[in-house]
Amino acid sequence: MSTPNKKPHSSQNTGVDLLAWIDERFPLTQVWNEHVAQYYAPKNFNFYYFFGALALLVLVNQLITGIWLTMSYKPDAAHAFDSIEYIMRDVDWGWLIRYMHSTGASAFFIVIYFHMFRGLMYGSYQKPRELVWLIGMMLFLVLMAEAFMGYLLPWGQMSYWGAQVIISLFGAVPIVGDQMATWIRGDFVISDATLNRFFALHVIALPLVLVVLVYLHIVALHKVGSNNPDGIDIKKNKNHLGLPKDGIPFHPYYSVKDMMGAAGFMFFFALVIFYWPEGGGFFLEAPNFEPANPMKTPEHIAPVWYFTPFYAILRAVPDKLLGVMAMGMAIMFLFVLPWLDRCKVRSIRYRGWQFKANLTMFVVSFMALGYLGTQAPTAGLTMLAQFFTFTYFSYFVLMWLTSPMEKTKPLPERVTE
Amino acid sequence: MMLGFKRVLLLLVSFIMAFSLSVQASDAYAPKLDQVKTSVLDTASLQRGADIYAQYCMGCHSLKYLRVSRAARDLEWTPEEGIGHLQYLRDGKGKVHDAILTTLDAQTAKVAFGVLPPDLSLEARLRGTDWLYTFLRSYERDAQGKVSNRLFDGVAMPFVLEGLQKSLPPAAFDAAVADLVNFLDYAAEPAKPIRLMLGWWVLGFLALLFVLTYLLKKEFWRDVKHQA
Repeated sequence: MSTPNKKPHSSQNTGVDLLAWIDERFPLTQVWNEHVAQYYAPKNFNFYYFFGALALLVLVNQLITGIWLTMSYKPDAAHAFDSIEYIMRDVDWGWLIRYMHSTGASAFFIVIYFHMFRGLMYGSYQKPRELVWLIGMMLFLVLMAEAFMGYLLPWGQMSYWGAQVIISLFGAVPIVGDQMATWIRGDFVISDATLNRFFALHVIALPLVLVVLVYLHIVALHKVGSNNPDGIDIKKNKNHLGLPKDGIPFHPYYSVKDMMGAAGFMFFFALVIFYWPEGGGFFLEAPNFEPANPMKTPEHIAPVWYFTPFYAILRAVPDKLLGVMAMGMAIMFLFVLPWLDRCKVRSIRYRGWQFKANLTMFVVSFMALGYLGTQAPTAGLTMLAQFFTFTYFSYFVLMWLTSPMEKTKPLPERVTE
Repeated sequence: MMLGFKRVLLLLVSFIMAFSLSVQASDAYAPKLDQVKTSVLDTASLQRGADIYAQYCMGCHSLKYLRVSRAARDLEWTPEEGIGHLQYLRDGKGKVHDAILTTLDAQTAKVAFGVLPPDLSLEARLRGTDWLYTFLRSYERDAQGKVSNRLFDGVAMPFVLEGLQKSLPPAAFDAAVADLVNFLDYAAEPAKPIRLMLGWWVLGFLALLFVLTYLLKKEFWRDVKHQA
């Protein structure tokens, strides 16, 4: 290009020419504008609006550290546990990559739970964002499967027995239950066959589904536009150019703001990785430092912390099949939330006392169940779990009953911050 | 109103914490463990602990995930010194990159103790350092000469540290056990020293990055406030 025979070209022109060349063949500028540079987001996003971008950051972290882990991990019941220790000790920076991945799994759920709480608080699931919510709920479901299967791979005692307990739940299904559990395991107990298929699903199948769903989640969001802490529609107030008066382009305003959020998040993420990688036994559980032993059942089997609210619901119901159904319903009810909430006002800021009390009780129930799920069941704790299971479900029932008659506050014309 | 909700959230969190504390307090089954304060950054303590391990534990227990070369490097010994300290049972046949293995064969162990002495590579992460510290100091011999352990009922392991315990004043024995526990803590995660040292640099960098991105955000957002 710089041979003397050719016309001199400034690098700027080369860039413009290249972009034009691409734009004739691929809508690069158009996509960039539509989704980044000219995507107008409400200007009043608060703290809770960091978590969408952070979820994406953690997903990328999991994908990249995951790829590096597979380079040294062996999906083989005879070698899996050893290969993790090999990564922790002999692979250069292997310990860091592994901690980033194991801490990342917990961070993913912390971020997602904040992200979902934001949606509940500001009514982001309401019309016209029902599909954004539904795709998000599917993401949550797939994420749980992804985490569950990843948790088996270190092949420690808790990996093994946790998987044994959860998969045996399928046995509660009438008639075909046992066959289903056997089909999932590929064996009559958790074994090498199970480890191999979970590995395949964990590193290929489910991440692929996650990435596709994240894409759909964002496409659906950008079609209807982001909600905001006031829950009002910013597209109602447009300027002479037809742009929302309370909207600002995602780039550069939210790209720089999210960079700040990412730096802040990474600080706390690094704090855990370097100084608290076991997370008090919740991020890495002590029994998982012992290799899986099918002949030795641990005294107390508990799933990882992010599953414990649902596990507590399962145990709170005395009948196994009904317990499994209750656990499923606990998640399924969230799917239909857009249709249970019959109030026209979205944000908690302008809703009635019923909504506030109801959401508060829901959060209390979720956290209490999460705690109870980590504990060995006693008669007293089981009764508590039953109480909070009741209040967990009452959130949905009360939402449907009270939302039409809530005394809401008048909505502002424009966003308030 | 946002403040009102935040106050509710705060109340809620304190409620849950009080609740979980009260439940934990009622947990009567957890044995009371003596707390031990150790540091894997204390190389002298690790060296003393490694020597106690080699003299009292290595006869039966392996550290199959820890190579002599790695331990020597981290404990600031030369490879030859590492072999001298941690591989002497193997009569010069041990190689520097070999793991720290016992010479006790499984058959003999089964006959002598009824169980196979476990590998201790990850024991500190499995049981915790407080447990190990308490366990090793809970052995006693009654008037009939019968050995028992206050923490571990029916333990198969004999009173291995009896000689050490008798030869040292109690405080010195506690310190020796703490060194041993410290070494086991290191053995369970040889990357721990580098992790602890490196973390501050990473956190410092990220704190700086946060300040810079905060200033960048502030600069970009100056015009947003005035937008009508």
